[in-house]
Amino acid sequence: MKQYMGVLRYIYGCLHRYLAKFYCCKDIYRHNIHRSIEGKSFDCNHFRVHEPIHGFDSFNKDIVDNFTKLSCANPGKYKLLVTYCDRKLKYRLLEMGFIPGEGLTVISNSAPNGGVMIKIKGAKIALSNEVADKILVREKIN
Amino acid sequence: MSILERDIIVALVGNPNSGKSTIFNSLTEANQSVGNYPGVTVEKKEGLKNHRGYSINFIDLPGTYSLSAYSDDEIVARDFLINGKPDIVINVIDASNIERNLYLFTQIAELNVPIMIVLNMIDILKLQGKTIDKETMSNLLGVPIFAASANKGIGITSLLDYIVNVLEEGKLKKQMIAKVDYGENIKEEIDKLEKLILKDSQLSKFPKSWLSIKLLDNDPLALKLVCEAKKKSVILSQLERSRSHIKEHFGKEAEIEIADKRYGFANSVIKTVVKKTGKKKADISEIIDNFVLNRYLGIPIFVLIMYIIFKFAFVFSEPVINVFEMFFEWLGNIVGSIISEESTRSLVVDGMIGGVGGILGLFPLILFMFFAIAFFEDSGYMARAAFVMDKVMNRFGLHGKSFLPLMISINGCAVPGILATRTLDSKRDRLITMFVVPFMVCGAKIPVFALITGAFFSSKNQASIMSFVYVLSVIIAFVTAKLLSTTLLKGEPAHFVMELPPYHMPQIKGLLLKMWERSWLYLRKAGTVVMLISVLIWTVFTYPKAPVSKNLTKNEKAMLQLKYSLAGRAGEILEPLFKPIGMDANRVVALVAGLAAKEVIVSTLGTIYSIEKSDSCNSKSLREKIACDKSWSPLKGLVFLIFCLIYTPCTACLTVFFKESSSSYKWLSLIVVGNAVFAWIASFIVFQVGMLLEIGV
Repeated sequence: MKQYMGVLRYIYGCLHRYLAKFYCCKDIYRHNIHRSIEGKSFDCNHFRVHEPIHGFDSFNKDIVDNFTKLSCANPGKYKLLVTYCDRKLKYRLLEMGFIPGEGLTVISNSAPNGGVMIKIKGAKIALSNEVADKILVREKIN
Repeated sequence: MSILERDIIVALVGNPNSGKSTIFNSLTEANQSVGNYPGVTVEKKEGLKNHRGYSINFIDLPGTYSLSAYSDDEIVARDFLINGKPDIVINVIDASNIERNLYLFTQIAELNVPIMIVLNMIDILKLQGKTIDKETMSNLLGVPIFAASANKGIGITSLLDYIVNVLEEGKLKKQMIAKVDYGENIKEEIDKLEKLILKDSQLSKFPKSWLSIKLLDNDPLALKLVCEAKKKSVILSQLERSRSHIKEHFGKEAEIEIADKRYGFANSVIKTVVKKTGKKKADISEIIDNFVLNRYLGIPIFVLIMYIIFKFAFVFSEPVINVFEMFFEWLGNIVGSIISEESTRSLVVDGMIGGVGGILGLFPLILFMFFAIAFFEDSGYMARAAFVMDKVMNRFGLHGKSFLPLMISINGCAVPGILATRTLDSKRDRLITMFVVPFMVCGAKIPVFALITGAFFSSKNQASIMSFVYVLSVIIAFVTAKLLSTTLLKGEPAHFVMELPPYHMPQIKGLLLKMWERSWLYLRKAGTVVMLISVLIWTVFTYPKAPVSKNLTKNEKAMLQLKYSLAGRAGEILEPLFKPIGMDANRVVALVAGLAAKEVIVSTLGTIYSIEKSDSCNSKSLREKIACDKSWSPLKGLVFLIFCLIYTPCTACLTVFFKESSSSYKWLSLIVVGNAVFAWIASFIVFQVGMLLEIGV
């Protein structure tokens, strides 16, 4: 039974990773590469950009409709998918509770002219536009 | 009882905003600050308390979210917990934000140190309509728990009793602290690493399970430890395998899985311990934030609050300043009448009392200013202000948090301003901020500007000229920051991620402590540096004595003395350099003396003009003397003002700058020489353009 669970988890993990790669829209990708070269930190996770999968229209549509960068998210409830880029920021976010799968609420969003205010694990956290750009979320469907 | 025969060392650890410093304050009544602004405690602070015959040494560690090694605060906290051998570690937990606070607890638990929990802010949890079962939590975690509320303060004696009781009973000796269950897969990898660590003589002195978890966590400091060890290749290759194994198994990196497990542990504790009892009351923080952080209202409200701070400081300090000034005048007269010998009298009255009185006169303003700033800091607004200002500051290569050091320096003092840059995470942001902080119109520069504007501008224009100076200083600071961030310190400001704590009414005691701690730096400067410099300047102007010849009038004698004195000679040598910016020897001397402390500029000018009594003016005040002196003109006054604004900061400021920029001579020389050159160029342009257009010549 335990082995079976392991296999399931493995499949889930692969799927998760695959989705994460997939959903990074092109501009995030370019943005990150650009930043990493400029800031000389090659620590980033280099996600590959995929074109929409041919023949899976509803799947593609779901991605376009439900997945956003945090900086583009309207106020509401979301689920965190991935945070990327340099290790320091990633860890800082991690210890503040930004764990993949965690639910979060966007309270207000004035990016790109301001920052994003969210509530995660019961605490209010302010993020600048640059940080919010590196967080991918999925809208929570009730 | 053996443990209690010596002093007890108690370390306080907790998240930022958990009220740790408030507890520390009430426990020790020490000079120590409390704040909502993250990173108030950057270095550990100590306070001693005697209780029931034991002397307890409390150590307040910086507030952190975890014990990783990505910022200085965390490293300080973690080093002390591992190497400081505290008898008891008090983990202060904010009950209203318990999940994240327990995340830190899980990490401390792995260090194998005796732990006790102080559960703070129980009252705020009640406002949220929840209660917490202290007993169950204590049993679950295997740690004694003491409950405290945020605003009523804590029963100090009861907490001290509790600490002593816990130690006396030896509850902590066989403490079985609950640790996070990382699951079979990770546990296996941890065991493998542990075995390797045990074999290494250097590494085995660290808590082994902690070290192996940290290694899986990809912690830079733990990795560094391993790299220095003898068996590094074996351990590193095992680590590589373990990490890739975990990644394959869980589909995510080891650090994410570990964080997930830790939060899972915290969550399960909360589920058993926290009970909902009533309805949640309306959250005031939410309502205030709607306005304060509003897209359009945010910046206007920020400006309004800054205005309130300044207004408060000016209005309330004015009567006190008047009393201070009267006192020093009175003191000067009294002392003057007591001391009969002329040179000693002039040393004491003009040199010491005049110089120090100039600074102490401004002390009330600074006191009120810091009180107002501390109020907004403790109430929780400053964290919001940093968020509101982040975008604006970013444009000039600064971080959102940079604005607080700048705020402290305006009308305050650049020394606490530079110290406040410690709240910035990245070294680059810190350096830029430290560099531009001295440009602000600090309390010491105000008398200089007041003198010049008073002498050359009609009373109608004085206020606008003064505000022009403030605006100019901010513009200069921002332009310099931009310049630095595009040339020497390339890169982008650090990411802005900040917790916004709920608003609450600050405690008066905490405010007063914080106010005092910051103003003390200023006062100490007045007592030591300025006192010395005042005497030095007096000496330099009085010696060596000019040869006495009888057929000279008193005024001519004074002129001759000035020329003969060391200061006069130095001024003459430097004069050609300053001629293109319209300055004469007197002003050059004053400016050089101003390197000691900016307020000395005024007192030096005062000394010069009291020695050098010109015939055309019989008026007494320095302001009037300057106004009718032919060597000055409004344009020259303005140039002098601009030069004062920009040139090299005072010695006290430079000392702190040097210390805080990790003793870098490069930055020190840049701020000393660069600012002087910058000031000269700016003054040159203004003076020459003014001469060309014949404005105020």
